[in-house]
Amino acid sequence: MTQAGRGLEAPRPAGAPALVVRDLHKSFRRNEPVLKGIDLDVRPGELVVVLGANGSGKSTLLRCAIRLIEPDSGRVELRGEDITAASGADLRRLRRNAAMIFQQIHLVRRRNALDNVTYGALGRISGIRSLSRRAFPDDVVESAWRSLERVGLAEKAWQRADTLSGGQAQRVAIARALCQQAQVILADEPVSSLDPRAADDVLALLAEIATSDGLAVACVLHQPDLARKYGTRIVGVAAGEVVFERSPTSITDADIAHLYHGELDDG
Amino acid sequence: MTVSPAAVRQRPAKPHPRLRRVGWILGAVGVVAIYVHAWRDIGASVGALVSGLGNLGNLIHRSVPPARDVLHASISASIVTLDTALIGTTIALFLSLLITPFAASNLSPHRLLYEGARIVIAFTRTIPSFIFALYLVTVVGLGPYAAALAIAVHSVGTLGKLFAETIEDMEMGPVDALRASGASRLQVFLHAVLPGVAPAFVSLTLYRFDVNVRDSLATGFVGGGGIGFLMFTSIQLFQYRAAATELLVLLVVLLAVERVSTVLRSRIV
Repeated sequence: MTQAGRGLEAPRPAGAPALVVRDLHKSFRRNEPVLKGIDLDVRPGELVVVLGANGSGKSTLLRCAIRLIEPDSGRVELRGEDITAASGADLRRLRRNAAMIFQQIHLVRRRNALDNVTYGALGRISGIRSLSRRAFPDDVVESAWRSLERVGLAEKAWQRADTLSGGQAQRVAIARALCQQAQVILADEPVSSLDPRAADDVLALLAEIATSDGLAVACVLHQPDLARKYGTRIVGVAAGEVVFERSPTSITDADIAHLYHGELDDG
Repeated sequence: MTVSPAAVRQRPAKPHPRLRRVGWILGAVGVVAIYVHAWRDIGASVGALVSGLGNLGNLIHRSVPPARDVLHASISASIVTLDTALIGTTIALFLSLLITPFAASNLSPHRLLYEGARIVIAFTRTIPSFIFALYLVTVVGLGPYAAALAIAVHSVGTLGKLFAETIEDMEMGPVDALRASGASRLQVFLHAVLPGVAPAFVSLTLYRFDVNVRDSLATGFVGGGGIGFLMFTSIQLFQYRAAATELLVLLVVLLAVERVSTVLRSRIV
């Protein structure tokens, strides 16, 4: 699976991590912890794949990172700023540093692709001009166009989101993340609802964005093949804990079996 | 797959139902008692209905032919009734749009605001519009303006409840996506919530208009003007031929409104 020249060793781009997660804990019910002290660093230029079985806590990890879910304890830093303590306008400002991509894509269905991309910029448009999509500032619309061009879907700009194919919709969602101008991209199983070819396209795009734009990409997956092919680093999560950290070439079938072992037992 | 006799023996026995049966019997006796009381309470009697059939024939006889001279007045009063429903529904639409974001449990910014919005909705929805009209005629005077305000107040409750339920049932994904990007509550509401629920809101409002046209007949009886007031007066003065004309005009108007409302709604959803 591994492409030539990729992942011969675990590359760790220099520079401070854009996303730092320390000792993150979360339980939804008493005595049933979902996250049991997770640590994670993602540096600019990296595509870190978080690999794990269903219920291992990997999606909760991403959602806690921008506090769509409130973590119980631990620290999350985006570009050196602690997001766990922020509230109100501060929280919204910090959230702008991380863009989220979802398995179910979550575009506003009855709006066209271009509008959906501009919505990524809502956090930095303030006041009355943010209330109607027809009043968005020109530079936002321009940045939306460039993001759509970047994902190769400029010709779909005026098409309603609910008429796009799954792969196209996910690429529009990536354009929305680009338009947000975040330094960190958090992708929560971005290809689970896509066919294999669209899945390949979407991950190639994310990898490309990480390397050429220098974004820090954390991507939750449960396809080991795709993780090996596109990840610059693979973090294995099982039962709310990091169980290994590998380069795409050094990861073994035994590592992967370890991750999914528990799920097989439950099934 | 075959089941062995041993497995059948292991099936748990049905729990003994004696207590439940006693409960059922008590419940049935209670329901019968309530019906007996209610029948006597309203003075219902089959005999009165049969012996009254003669009166009905007399009533019909006095209603034909419908009076021609009130046709014009009936039509213009019907338009007043439609205007009342239109203004009332529109005011209610804007007021309920303001209250809905607080009344939907998945969007409400604070528990207290949610409870407050729900109280307003429960109060205005529970009390019928003609009761509000009884009070409002003493505030703004007799006439359709009081009726429109009464309809607006009541419809804030009905529309607000339906709007809030629509939002509670909607797909929250786009809302999460916009929140995650750092959008404010108002931005999320305008760009992620409204586009998703707008067709349902329009449909619910059209349906409410249809209901409000009929409601504004009842507000007419209590002094709110329109065709309802006209009919009420005719019947009180025993002018059954005039009432017949008004009833026919009313029937045409109501059927037309219902038809238009249904067609428009089917185009939207």
